[in-house]
Order: sequence, then C-alpha cells, then structure tokens
Amino acid sequence: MIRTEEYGLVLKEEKLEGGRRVLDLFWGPQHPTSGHTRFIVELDGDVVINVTPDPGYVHRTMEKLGETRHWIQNIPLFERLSLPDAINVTWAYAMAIERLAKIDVSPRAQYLRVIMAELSRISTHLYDLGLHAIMIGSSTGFMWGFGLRELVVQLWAMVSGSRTTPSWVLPGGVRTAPPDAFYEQTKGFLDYLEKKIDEFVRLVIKNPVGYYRLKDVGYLSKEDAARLMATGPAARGSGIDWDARRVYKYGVYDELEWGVCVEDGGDSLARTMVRICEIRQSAKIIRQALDRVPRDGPLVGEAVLHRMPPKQKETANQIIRLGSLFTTRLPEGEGLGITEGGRGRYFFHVYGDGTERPYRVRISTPSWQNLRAMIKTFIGARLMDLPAIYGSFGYFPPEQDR
Amino acid sequence: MVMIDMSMDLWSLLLSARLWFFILMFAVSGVVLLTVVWFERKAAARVQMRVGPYHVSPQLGGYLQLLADAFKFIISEPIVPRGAHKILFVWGPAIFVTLAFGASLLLPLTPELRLIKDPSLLPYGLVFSLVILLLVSILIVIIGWSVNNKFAYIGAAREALLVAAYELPLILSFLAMVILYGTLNPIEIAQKQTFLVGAILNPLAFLVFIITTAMATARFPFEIADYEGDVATGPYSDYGGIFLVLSFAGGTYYATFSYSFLATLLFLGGWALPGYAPGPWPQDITGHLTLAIWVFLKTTALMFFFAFLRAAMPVLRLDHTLVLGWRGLLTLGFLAVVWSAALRFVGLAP
Repeated sequence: MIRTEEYGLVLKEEKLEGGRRVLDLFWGPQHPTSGHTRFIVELDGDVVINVTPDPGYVHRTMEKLGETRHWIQNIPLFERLSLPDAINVTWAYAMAIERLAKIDVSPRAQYLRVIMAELSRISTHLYDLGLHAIMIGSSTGFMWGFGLRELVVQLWAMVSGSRTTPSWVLPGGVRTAPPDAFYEQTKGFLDYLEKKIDEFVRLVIKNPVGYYRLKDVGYLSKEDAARLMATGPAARGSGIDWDARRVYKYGVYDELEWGVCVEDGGDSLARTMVRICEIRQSAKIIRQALDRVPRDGPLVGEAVLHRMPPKQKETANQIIRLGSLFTTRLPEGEGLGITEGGRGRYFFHVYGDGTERPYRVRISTPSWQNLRAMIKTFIGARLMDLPAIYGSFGYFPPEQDR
Repeated sequence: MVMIDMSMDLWSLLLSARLWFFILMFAVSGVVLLTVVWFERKAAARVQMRVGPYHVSPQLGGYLQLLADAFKFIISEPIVPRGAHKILFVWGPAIFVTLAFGASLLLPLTPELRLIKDPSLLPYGLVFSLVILLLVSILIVIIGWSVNNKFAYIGAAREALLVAAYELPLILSFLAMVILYGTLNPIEIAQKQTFLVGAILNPLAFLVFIITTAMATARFPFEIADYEGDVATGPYSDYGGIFLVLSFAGGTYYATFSYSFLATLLFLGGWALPGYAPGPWPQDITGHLTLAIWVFLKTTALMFFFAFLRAAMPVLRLDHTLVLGWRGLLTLGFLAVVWSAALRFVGLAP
C-alpha cells in the first residue's frame, strides 16, 4: 500500500501568517554549486522570496592564527584565504607590514609584483568564469576556464616553484626572480588567452541560451551596490567606477596605461562582462610591465637587504632566503594594506606591539563584503537563477569565512 | 520424418524475422549506445581541451570506458534511502528503461524485420510507440515522488511542467507527418520517402520534433528537471548504482534512441533507398541486414547531434523553456500541420 500522507511537497512547506506557504530549501553546504556555505532559501513556487546565509563552514580562524605566529609565517597562512588570488592577498599583507615597519620596496620587485598580481587576477577571473559556466550548465566553459588557468599556474610554478601556493610576495619585495623563459612564455600565454577569451564569450556568454540565463538576472542597482558596499566586479558591473589600483596608486599601476572596466547593466551579464574586460586589461598591463621590468637588480628593498648576511646578499638578485627576516620585530604602530584582487578589495590592517608577532590582524575580504549585495539580488529571482547570480559574484566561501 | 520436422522447425525458428529483429535491436542498440556515449565524451573532450576516456582500452581510444563504468555501477551497493517509497524507488528505474526501449520494439526495422507480425496492426504500433515514449516522463515524476526529498520533488514538478509544454508540439509534429503521408502504416511511410524525405517535405515538423525530443530526453539545453545547479540532478538525486544506470545514466539514452529511431522513420526516410527493394525475408537476408544497418546509421547520426549539444549549450531557464514550448513550439507545430494539410490540398504530398 502507498501511504500517500507521507509523501508530497505540500507537507514539506511551512505555513506563514496569512495562510501563505513557503518551501525551505537548504542549499548547501554539500551541494554541487553552493560551495562551502549554506543558504536557507525560502521559495514561493519558483520564486525566491527570502535567503538567509549561514556562513562559517570553512572558518579557519585566520585572524586569530595570525596573532600566534611570526609575522613572516603569516604569508603562507593568509594566501590560503583565496588560493586563486594568492598574489593579491599576500601583497596586501606585505603592504601592511611595509607601512608598519617602514620597509622599502625595490623597483624591480614593484614591476614583478604587478606582473604576478595581474596573472593572479587573470587566474581568479578564469576560475570564477569557469565555475560560473558550469553553474549555468556549460561544461565547455568550465573546462576552458580551468584549462587556461592551468597555464597561469604553470607560469607561477616557473617563478615561485609552486603551482597554487606561491608564498612569493615578501615585505620589501619578492622571494624569487623569474627565469628568462618566463618573459617569453608569458607573452605567448597572453596571445593565446586573448584568442581563447573571445571564443569563450562567443560560446558561453553570447550563446542565446547563456545570454538569457545572464541577461536581466540578479539586478543590483548602483544605489544598492553602494549602500551594501559591493566591491570588485560586483560594484563595477553596477556602474560604480572604483578600483583600488587607481585610487591608492600602489605598485607601479599609475605608470602604466590601462582602464577600469565599468558596465552599467547591474545584472549577471554586466558582472561577467566586467570580468572579461578585466582579463583583457590585465593582459595589457602585463605586456607593458614585461617591457619595462628591470631584468637585474635586488629583489628586495634596502631595509631588508641590509639585514641579510653577506653570503645571502650575493644571491639577492636571484632568491631571498627568509632566515634573516625572523630576527625582525614589528615596531609598535599600525599598518594598512589595500589591494584590488580579482573579486574586489583586499584589506589588511596589522597592529604591531614590539614583538615578532602581530598584535592584531584585521582582514576584510571581497566575498564577505559582497555577500549582502548577493543576498539582495537573490530575492525575487527564480530558483534556477540562483547559480547564475552566485557565479556572477564570484562568491568564494573560503575567502568569506577566513 | 520426425528428424526432418524438427530440423524444419529449427530452421524456421532460427530464420524467423521476429527473432532476428529482437536480437538486432538488443545487440545493435547496445552498440549504438556505446558509440554515442563514447562520441559524447570524446567530442566534448575535443572541444574542451582534454583527452576524454582513454585508459580503458587505449587501442580503441577508450571505446570500452562505458562498459567499465556500467560494471562499476552495477557492482556498487544499491542504497534505498530510509524515507523513500521502497517499491516505486526500486521498480521505477526498471520500468523507466523498459518503456524507453520497449517503444522502439513496436516499430519495424525493415519491411520484414519487425515484431508485429500482422501488417494491419502496424499503424497501431507506430502510435503506441509514441504513447509509450510519452509515458516515460510520467515515470520520472513517479521516481521523483518516491525519493521523497525536496530536491527530487522540485525536479519532478519541473518535469511535469515540461511534459505539458513539449507533449502537444511533439504530437502535433507527429500529426503533421501523418497528414502528409496520409497513412499511419510505417511501411508505407518509408516507401513514400524514397525520393524526398519527410524532413525536407515538412522542415517545420522536423524542427519541432527535434527540439521536443531534446526536451523529452533532458538533453542540453533542456536539462532542467535534473539540473545540477540548483536541484542537484532532481529526481535522480538519491539514486546510485544499478538504479542510476537504469534511469539517468542509461534509461535516458535508451529514450533518446527510441525517439531518434522514430524520427528516422518519420523524417529521414527509414530504410528507404532509391532504386533498391529487398526481397522476401529468409531468402534475402543480406539485403534486409543492409537496410537495418542503414536505419541504425541514421539513428546514430541523430543521436550524435543530441549528444553533441552537451558540449555547446548551457541550460535554459525553466520559465523560458515553458514559454518556448507553449508559445514558440506550439505555434510552429500548428504551422507544421497547416503546411502538411496545404501540401495535401495542393496535391504535392507523396
């Protein structure tokens, strides 16, 4: 016998005041597209009427851990916030330490940092575009995104010896010098990337099916984006012309020619097109930086250089050994580091108290900042739009939970 | 005398058209499925900058990967969730694949190779194959209902909405071809397409049939009921092992096979070859086998098309698909019927 009273969707609905009924859907943390976070989605038919985020599944107590280690040991820790964007994260932390301890950066390292940070941005955008593509169902877009990112990862390995965890940016400079082959292969990679990104746009975004999955979906107005403090492509997709690289003029960005990508649409399509445009701009920046980067010179600034033993100073143009930095104590004071990562603004605020450990490290990450804006755009969307919106924000739970 | 009788019986049994049809359908449909899945993976891999299946049978380009996958699924433990309706949960996939494949058994492969012996019953076979294929979607709803979780329910509800959207256009395109040929007898239908196939005579109906087939068999871009993005494969979300093989991983391919087989007969001329007519059955075995292979080739080509969609398409949204079904395809279906009627009226119908 079929006991029908045990089955059916109606029984799983919750009754609200006024006789309205909604279905609670627990989207995540174990779900193909939700990532390591949970959204409690309230559905009225096919329409999402409320979403409650339940983050914290990958909270690794990064800020607290940062207080317990030597400040140089925090670099490999903090880059695990967001491995696709490792360089931009560690650059923000290094910048905070540089301001705190008054460490200068060598000119060669400035250019190298810009090259690697833009590769990091490309890597993040490819990662997000790939995941966004599989979220709206295009496995080809996913494979292309990750296939292209594989090339970035190999370039990283060439420079730092590590595919995904470079730990490459140091306060005062960078850890290793790229080999000569890096300069040639990066140019070849950029040519291939630009060709392939055009194909990606044609196949996934301008595809009629993909276009209607993104167009007019997840609308975020300019006012809402500002009010909810959206950042990165989420803000620029809503018409807010803001980029930390231009505002704070760190690195050598103000010496190079490039533009900030802004779209007025405010929907998933606009945010995706901002990503595409930024990949092209990054390629432009890298080409210029590759032409201008000094091929020789110390990898770190004077402040770090004079701490190094003479034997190690001889190879300071090739590799920096970290041992000498372990004797350095942070002065009392505070330092601030802000960089523009692929998903938005990374913010590190480091307090020193005269010991070798930071007294406090405050981190603000773009995914956490974008969460409220994303929830705002979820409401009123169709259930099938959730992945399309989620992917367009490049939401990344490990980065959000810290 | 007895000896001779027995040998006579044995010969007539071994050469019976029904037996050959049965064996051909089971064996060749298996090979076709193997080829289509292999093509789906290899073609997608080619587009997606990767190699695809390789390590199982590297000499054949990974052709036997599907067998290895199926074997793995079959020996894995069948898990029935505690809250599920056990009878329907277990029997659903088996009925699913039976209906999906059984529909193609009612259609003739060549004029003689067929399961329905009585020629006067053949028109019913054609209609019944379509009816049985449309029942498959009800099975999907039943499966989703028996799983008893929210994702499966939403998937089942979507399937029900989709059925309503694609069923009418599908039947209309079928009707358009029947009006065009003026008969339901598949043998006559194939004969009438000897020189001009149905897809050219009524391209609208062909288009509607192809799109609705993609919807009915959950091919891309209509993988909506079992969309992974939000409902995590919907009705099949709690299925694994042999159940998954019979429903999602195998059953839908059998349904695609049956739809393609039907489309081959209605739109691509079936076994018709200009200037060639096979002899009577037991005498002209090679002729009939050649025609059977010709039919299978066309079916496979259609299935290749459906398989390749995976590499090229994202998934369309549910409400857009319903609008496409009710507004676009239904109108096109009516136009196809009008087109067929006009051809008949003018006297251009075959």
